[in-house]
Amino acid sequence: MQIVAYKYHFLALLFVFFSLTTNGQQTHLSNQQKAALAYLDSHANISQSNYWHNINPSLFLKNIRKNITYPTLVYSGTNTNFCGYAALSFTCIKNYPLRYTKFMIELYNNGQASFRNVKFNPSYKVKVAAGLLEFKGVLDINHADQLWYMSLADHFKGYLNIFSKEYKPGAEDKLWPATNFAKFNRMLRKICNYETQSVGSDLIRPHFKNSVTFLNDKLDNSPQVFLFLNNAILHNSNHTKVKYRIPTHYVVLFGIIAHDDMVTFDYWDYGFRTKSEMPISVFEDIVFGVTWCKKQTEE
Amino acid sequence: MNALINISCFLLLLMFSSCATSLPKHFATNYYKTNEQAIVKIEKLYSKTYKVKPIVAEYTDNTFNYVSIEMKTDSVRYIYEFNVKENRLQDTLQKFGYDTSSVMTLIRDMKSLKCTWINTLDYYVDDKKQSLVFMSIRPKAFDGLFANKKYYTLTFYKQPQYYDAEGRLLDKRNRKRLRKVNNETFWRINDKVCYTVIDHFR
Repeated sequence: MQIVAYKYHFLALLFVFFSLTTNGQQTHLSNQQKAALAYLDSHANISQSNYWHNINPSLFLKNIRKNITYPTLVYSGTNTNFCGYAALSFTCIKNYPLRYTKFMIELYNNGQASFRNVKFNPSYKVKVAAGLLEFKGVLDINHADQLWYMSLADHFKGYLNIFSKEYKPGAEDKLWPATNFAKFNRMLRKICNYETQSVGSDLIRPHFKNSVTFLNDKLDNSPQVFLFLNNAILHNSNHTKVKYRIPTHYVVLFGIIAHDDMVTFDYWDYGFRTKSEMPISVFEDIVFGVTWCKKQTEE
Repeated sequence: MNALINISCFLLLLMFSSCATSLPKHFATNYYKTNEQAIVKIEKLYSKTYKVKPIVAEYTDNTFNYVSIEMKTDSVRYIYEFNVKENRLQDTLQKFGYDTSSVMTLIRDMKSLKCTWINTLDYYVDDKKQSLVFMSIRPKAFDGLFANKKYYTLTFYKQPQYYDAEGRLLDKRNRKRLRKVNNETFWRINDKVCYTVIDHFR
């Protein structure tokens, strides 16, 4: 009798464990997430959009559901320049899932929608291309993310986009969606309504007395800290000794620990939390910008 | 006169550099044939290892002494760089539950072939997940003074692919369209293997 009781206890524990974790992510949902999922359920029978011909409605809804439930799985795609939009999406979906869901459904149905005071009316070329990206990893089937990133890139422009304002096939890997530091901070303010503070720039690295102490202080006092990094060193892609000394990549900072001359740098990018070990000197060499934010209003 | 000499030198330089960047097609296919055994061995060992536990290996230096290993658990990806001779490398692999001997063989074989990077890329055809293995090699023969494209990149598919008359990889759904991976055109080695020559290894 006792063995049977233990067996049931074990099965119950197993059930609790699997209901709490999927892909290693906690599924404890906030009220906002629950409201967003309920809103999504009320639009479960959405039909093919008249504006987004290549966005499959079922893949679109499935992608939004996954983003609401597991914002850490938001993925910018292999070899694209969407990393700034992905970092923005991570914090936006995590903090404002209901607003995000309502906006996405409206944009899909009407071809235009407003996120707070930002009115999105993506170009015809973007509307045709969304849903057709391929060889970008799971972004291939994440139709909501394709629509969202491309709409953001089409709307927000910085000086890097001056010569590449219109979308052309393949432009997602080039300068069309490129995001300079000021543009990134502007997007955070407009989309997330954050009060942002930052150090650094597109060309000159900030000077830190002690980078690890500085970043830990920001992490203690701000809900979200972003880093603007030189990706040529973080994700090395050739063996040339001369590397471009320019930042091209955005990550969300989770933590940083110093030990001897090394740091373990805990960050989020490409749909994954990563812990990377590197010398402090290399770390300080790759950081071009730090942005820390505070929510202005609770929703 | 001096200006004329300068211009001729510049044109000569331009000619040399353009020769060095356009690698003859037969050279690339011959390279595969000559090294096929070693290439296939690495790809098979990598696929077997990856199936048990995902891993990415990358040589970070020209001398092939430092290797960066990306190890994935369910929720976190760990990236560490090691000197290949360090004991720490094997200890870490063991700690993360990898078959140490297979991974060490893979790392050694990569070094002998001058393979800089090996990874798996997921892609989707008709919304179904497929995967291919990416392998970048830096052959010595590509190290010309003016060569800017130094990496011979191979993709290994699980299913036979479609190619045009020139041997370029085609899209499965629309066979009039080239299938570009990471914005690069790939060329046929055989039904399931294609190559390209580029200036970066990933």
